[in-house]
Amino acid sequence: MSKRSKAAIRATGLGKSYFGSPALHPLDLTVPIGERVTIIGHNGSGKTTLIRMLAGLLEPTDGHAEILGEQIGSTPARAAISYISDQPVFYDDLSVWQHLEYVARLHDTADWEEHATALVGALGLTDRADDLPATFSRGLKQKAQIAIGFIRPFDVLLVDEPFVGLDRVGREALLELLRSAHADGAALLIATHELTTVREGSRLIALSGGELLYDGSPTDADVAALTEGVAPSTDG
Amino acid sequence: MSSDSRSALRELRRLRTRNRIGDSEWFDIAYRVYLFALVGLVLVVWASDAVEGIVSEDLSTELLLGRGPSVLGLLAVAAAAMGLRSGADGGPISIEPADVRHVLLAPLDRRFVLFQPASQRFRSVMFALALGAGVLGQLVGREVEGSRPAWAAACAAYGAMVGAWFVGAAIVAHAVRLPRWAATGIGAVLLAWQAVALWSTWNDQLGDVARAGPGDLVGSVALWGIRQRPLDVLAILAAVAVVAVALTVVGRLRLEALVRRGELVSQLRFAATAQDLRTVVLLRRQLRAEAPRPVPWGGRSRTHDRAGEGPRPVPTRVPARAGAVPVRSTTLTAVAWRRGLASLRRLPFSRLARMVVLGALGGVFASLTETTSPLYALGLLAAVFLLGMEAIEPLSEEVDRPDLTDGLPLDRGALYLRHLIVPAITLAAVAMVGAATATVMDPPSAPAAFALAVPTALLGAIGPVVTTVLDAPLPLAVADTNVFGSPRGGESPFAMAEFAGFSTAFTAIAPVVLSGVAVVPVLVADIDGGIGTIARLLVGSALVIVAAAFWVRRRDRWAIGMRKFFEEGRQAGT
Repeated sequence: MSKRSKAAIRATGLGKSYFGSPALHPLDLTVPIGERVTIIGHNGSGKTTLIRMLAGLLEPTDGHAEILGEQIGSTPARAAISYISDQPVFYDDLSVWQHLEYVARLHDTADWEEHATALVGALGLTDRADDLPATFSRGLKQKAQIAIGFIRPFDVLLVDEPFVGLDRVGREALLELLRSAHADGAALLIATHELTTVREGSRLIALSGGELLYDGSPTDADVAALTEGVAPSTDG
Repeated sequence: MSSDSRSALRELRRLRTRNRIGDSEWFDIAYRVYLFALVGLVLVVWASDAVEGIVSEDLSTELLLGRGPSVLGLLAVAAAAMGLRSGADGGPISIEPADVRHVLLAPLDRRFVLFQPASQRFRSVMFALALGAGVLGQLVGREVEGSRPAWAAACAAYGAMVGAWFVGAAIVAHAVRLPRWAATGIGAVLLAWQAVALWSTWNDQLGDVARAGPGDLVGSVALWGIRQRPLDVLAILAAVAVVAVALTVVGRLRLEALVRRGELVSQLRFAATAQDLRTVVLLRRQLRAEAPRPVPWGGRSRTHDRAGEGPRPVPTRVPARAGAVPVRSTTLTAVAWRRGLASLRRLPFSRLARMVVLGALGGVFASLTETTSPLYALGLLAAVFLLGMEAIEPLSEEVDRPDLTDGLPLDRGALYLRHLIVPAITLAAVAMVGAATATVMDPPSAPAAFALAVPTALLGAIGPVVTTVLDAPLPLAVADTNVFGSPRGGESPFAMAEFAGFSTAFTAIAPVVLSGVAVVPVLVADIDGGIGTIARLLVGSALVIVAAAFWVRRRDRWAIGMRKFFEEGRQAGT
């Protein structure tokens, strides 16, 4: 089966519980290649749990999921996924540039230096590229993390609260990077509270209390109500 | 996985090592290692000459050969059992969070990535245990047949094997996703088996079959200083096998556990560096996944029964005050009592079990101090200190949240003191386990054991109580001044760099030294167990406990008073 004929993400009954309390009820989800999906929901709705399970950082307690037909956590799945988390994590002793170099090389990225130069420039990090990101402000850390997320090849981009702490330059750069990745055919799964960006996606998923509340077009949805956990009306 | 990815990882690790070492010269590092080793060797030799009767005053080679394998085997089996539990809880390896995010999520063979941290873990644990066992071995070698180097080498080999079993069992248990209950069950069965073997060997009971425990061969290796059995080679082969199996399956470690553990261990290292004992304890509990019970012992409260009754109207007025401010002493005692009970009811089974085991170990060590090495007193000290750390949870929880405490209209010393009521009762109950154990070990000592058990447990808790209360911030009125009332960082002699090392060491050792007073009644009773002596010990212990309680109650007032005293002195001088 060719890569193009597989779903980018296919989750079947995927769920997660902590000490018997469900953080995400079993969920079926299929995201085709090239689709841009936005996930919204109140705090504790299960967005981060879903994304971290797909990234392979959390083990499901129910069901299973595949990335391009490969089991989550497997080497091919890891090669396909880029994950930008809501909490940037860096080595204390490596500069931004050294992070970019090693993440790129760990993923066998071609022409990484050229790409890294463009990324740090777009994100306004050129002057800070040789500094330690562990000492950065929240916003600069977020920019550094975005650069690391985009330095390597990927087919599926998992992003959790990407706009936190970003200034206007960073925000514009991130939106442009997301558009480029989408245009390149990557599937995007973006969890956010930033409702103004919802309609940039082709699909909206709303979670509430760990359950699927809405899955459909963002243009038809009452986004504000969905974020507060109000189920859409089924009349007509 | 391409070779470039592998070489990138190797380069990353080399670069990080260079960054950590910085501008240090290799010669400088080598000289420091040499100096450390030399000083360590001199200290060991000096201490060895100063200590006599390390194992037992009446130890014979025959006894050592007969009972040694079972006793030392018990330690080896305990290490394997602890390893199984550690593995089931996500141990024993901790990976930096950044390594999890950037390396373990990269398309690299995880066995290749995790091989180095796993082998490092093996090396560090095996080396530490080999060193400790080797030092003890050469001490034993002074009192029995065989040369000291031979004893040191044999015991070092034993220590290394114990380390291999701990780390190996943990990695395998983690990799095969052994559930906690299974790890506990297997560990308990192995320990029980070895304990039966030890008991039957010690008392010359049952047959030869019952005297064979699963750890005997490992324990026997420690005795190679005087006896070399070909059969013992099997223990070495088994240890090598467990290391090999662990390094083979290391790629199957769970990422979720590595993430959680990595974050906790980096906090733990910081807390240990800052000598924050309470944080170290809390983080270690989290590493063991010891959360408070979701449903308390005895069931939920009535509040939970009302959970399904639906919403109620919002209160329309601020509640009225029932009594005076600050609250009456009896009310405060009742509140602290209920809070303490609530804390006790949420203790997980593992912590309750650990307290009982520590109590029993305290009893064992207390009875051994009578007839054998004074080093067993250190075991008693460790047991009562750890028991105290476990028991004072209500006080620790209060101190952990200074903002909440400072918002209360009362003297926090009074509250802290009352938070010790339930822990004191808990310690008294656990002390009875210790007394019973000591009675089993040495029946004639029963009256002294039951008389001194409670004071010993309470005295042992003084160190944990003091270190916990010292963690509470100073009262706001004096927070910016040192003990002499001068601004912090000012002319205080204790602010000088020359005193930094001393004060750091003092902060680390003081709690344990304070708890050391718990050993005194036991040692004195060993010399003279008469009723008069026991009575005097009880009175003395009570006075020390009351003094400690008084310090908890009055600490803030004394801190303010002392600064005021010096301030007035300075003003009079000018």
